[in-house]
Amino acid sequence: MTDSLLVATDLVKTYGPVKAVRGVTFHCNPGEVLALVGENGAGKSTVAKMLAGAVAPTSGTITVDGEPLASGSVRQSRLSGVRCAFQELALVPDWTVAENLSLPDGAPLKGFSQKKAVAAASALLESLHLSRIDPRAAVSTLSLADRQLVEIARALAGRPKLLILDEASSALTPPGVEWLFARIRELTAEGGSVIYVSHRLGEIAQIADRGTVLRDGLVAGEFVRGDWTDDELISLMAGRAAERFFPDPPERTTDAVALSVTDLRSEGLRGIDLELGAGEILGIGGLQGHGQAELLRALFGAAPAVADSWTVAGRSISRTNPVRSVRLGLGYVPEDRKREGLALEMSVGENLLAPWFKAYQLGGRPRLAQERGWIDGILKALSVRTRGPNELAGSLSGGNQQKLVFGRWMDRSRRVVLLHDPTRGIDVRAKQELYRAIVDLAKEGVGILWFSTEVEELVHVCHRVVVLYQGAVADELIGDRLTADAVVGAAVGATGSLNLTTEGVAS
Amino acid sequence: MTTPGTSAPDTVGTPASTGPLGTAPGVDTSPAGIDRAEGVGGSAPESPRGSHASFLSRVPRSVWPLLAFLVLFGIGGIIRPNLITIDSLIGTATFAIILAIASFGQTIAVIQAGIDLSVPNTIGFSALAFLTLVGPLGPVGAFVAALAAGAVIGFFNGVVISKLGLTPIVTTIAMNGLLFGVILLAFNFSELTVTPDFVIAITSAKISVFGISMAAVLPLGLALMVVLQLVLSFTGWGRSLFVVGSAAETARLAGLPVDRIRITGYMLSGLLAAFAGIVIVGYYQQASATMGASYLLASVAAVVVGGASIFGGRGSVVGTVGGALVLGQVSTLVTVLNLGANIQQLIYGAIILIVISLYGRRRAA
Repeated sequence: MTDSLLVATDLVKTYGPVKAVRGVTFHCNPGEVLALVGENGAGKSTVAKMLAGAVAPTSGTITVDGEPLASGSVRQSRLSGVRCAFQELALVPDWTVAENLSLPDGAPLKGFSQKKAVAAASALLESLHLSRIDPRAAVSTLSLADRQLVEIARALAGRPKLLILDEASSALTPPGVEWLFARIRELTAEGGSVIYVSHRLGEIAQIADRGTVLRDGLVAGEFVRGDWTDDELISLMAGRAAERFFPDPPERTTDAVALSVTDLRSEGLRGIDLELGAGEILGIGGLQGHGQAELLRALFGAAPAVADSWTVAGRSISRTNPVRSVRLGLGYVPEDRKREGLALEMSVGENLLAPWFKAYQLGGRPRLAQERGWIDGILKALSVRTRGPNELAGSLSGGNQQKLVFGRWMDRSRRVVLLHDPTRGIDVRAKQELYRAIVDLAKEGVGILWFSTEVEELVHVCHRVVVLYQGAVADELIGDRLTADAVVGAAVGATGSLNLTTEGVAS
Repeated sequence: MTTPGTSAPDTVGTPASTGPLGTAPGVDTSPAGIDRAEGVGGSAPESPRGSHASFLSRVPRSVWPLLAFLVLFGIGGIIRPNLITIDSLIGTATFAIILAIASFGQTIAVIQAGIDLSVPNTIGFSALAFLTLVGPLGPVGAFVAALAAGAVIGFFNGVVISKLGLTPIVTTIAMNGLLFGVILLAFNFSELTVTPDFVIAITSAKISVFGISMAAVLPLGLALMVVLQLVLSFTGWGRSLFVVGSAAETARLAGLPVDRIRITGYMLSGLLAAFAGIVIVGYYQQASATMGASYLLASVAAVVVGGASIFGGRGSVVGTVGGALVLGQVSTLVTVLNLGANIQQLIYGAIILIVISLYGRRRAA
């Protein structure tokens, strides 16, 4: 144990009566990638934050290189060579990439030079093979994936001894993940260590040397490379035998068309033809930033768009806006559940009902009472863990929040539901519950258009997958051609062949 | 509250702050001791502390300003025992209800994550327009026209904010300046003297409620409060307003007509400010170009003290009445202590800062 880089002993963290972490012990050797896995609420993020110094442990010790880590100070942590990239991005949206990258080391009394910051940022991005990101661009103008890359770059900038990646790959596309793995291997080759927190078992299989499974704030088990299967890990995380991971798409029973569009043009879209059948689950693949977000927003009317012909449930339209789309029978689960999906200060029930408020009808508690049957049905169908419809949406965990954004469109006679990566950053059990709900919705004849950054979801749960590349349809995959390699291949513009290099990110 | 005595602050204040802890085992000391016991009671069983916290969070926010008012009322009684009378309470409440009526529109603007800084001159404009139009249109026609003017002002605010995307603070303060120009140009102040009877009847006329004589504006304001609170809490429009204020992009992507909700919100805000203008004319029976000026800071203060979040998505008109009562009592105390009107503005400003920092901390916790 003495040669371990990091030793965490019996970490406990309580928030009032809530015990987030109840005694976690693990160590990490130099040059090693240690995975921390567990469901949401298992305590992974709290442990990561304690290591980063963002949260002080209630009891327990952390030593780095034999020296106790000054707890509760991000600055002290950084000085001891610990850097962290968080899932909830810690970048200032209105600042440029360069300003954000210089933020941690900016000594406030030394003054700040825009020119030097840009030069330093360019050099850093260059050295990390991210030169396509403009250091002068405001972070808010970047895609979520690019923002995550910047966040990781910022953590890598200090050549850390210990790098903590807390769900840092959640928005990354396969080539982005490859890029991240290349950086991790560079770091470990130099003797640095990485704590890798992720839900993606495929990534863990690829990169982790060892792993620690957390459940309910305790260590549920440990594993070493090559010595485990997905099912074993899932049952360890969930504390129960795992069910089959992905459900199959349901049998199509009708040829009716739910949505069709030809030559759809919008900002970031270069003429898209698309047809979605009733009861069909159509996956949208591709790298982030190649038009998937724009496609969903355009189809819902959240961004202006025109098309040669455009029908929704058989009705021809020339353009739409969100109000009209909801009336036409569309539903939309947006990318950012906290900002675009929920009113966090309002109740669970009212968040479910948000699209169905009519100015002249009842609202508030009388409406919740009226709709009690529907609300309880949705909460039950999706296994939302909540104290009830009157709990604030903001106090639910991420996965349960996501279920609310999805659930508001269930049993509301939708014709088409547009999903923007609904399973991003939520735990395995919540994912399975969402898969089941999506399949059930399709069984009822709802057309599902589902953009996912997780290729396995597209391959297993969708009838058909359309891959976008630079704002246009690169390939349509169905039947035997629908494989993970084909989706990834088409995503990087190399139809039919697998080409997983960092050039994919740079394109 | 009808019993005079200096013990009022204790009997009112302690149950609220330490009530649930009274059941904690082994605590039999004075009220002050209970507070201290909570501070060091780390080894105490968790359940009482947990229930204490959840009890506090379950208390509606609009209760706190009412408690603060009662404490201030008690403090007034300590300084001048003769202030603890029904008449004194009614006097403060009447002042407060007029401020509250002027702040109802502000509440609606703040809930939708906006602010309406055109309240002062909307008050002035509607009051002067009302008095000017009584001659040609008759009192009822003038009343309707003045309210319509307020709604139109709000409509312009709302359109500029939602359709052009300007920030509410800039838009409404520009509107306030614009209205002041209109007031100075359009009205002939020397002719405005007569206040119509029906306005006096609903404002300054003394009526008796449960045997207590009070100005008619007090029940009028409370009735308006009840109606508005019902609209905010129990209608689709009211709840949509909260969704828009809490997360505008969420509202838009859920398919709510955000622009329409915003515009109607500002229209209601303008209409209520216009109504406040007429009420002020009726109660004080005078009107001037600057009659609304003092309501700029006071209306924001009443809303914020009333528990609304300045970031939107939270607030109530019941809370605003509580906030107005607190400010009204502050104003009474300032008068009693002979501090002068300028000190009052200073205290209002300080109260806004204190309350925002207190609520901001609760929000973060």
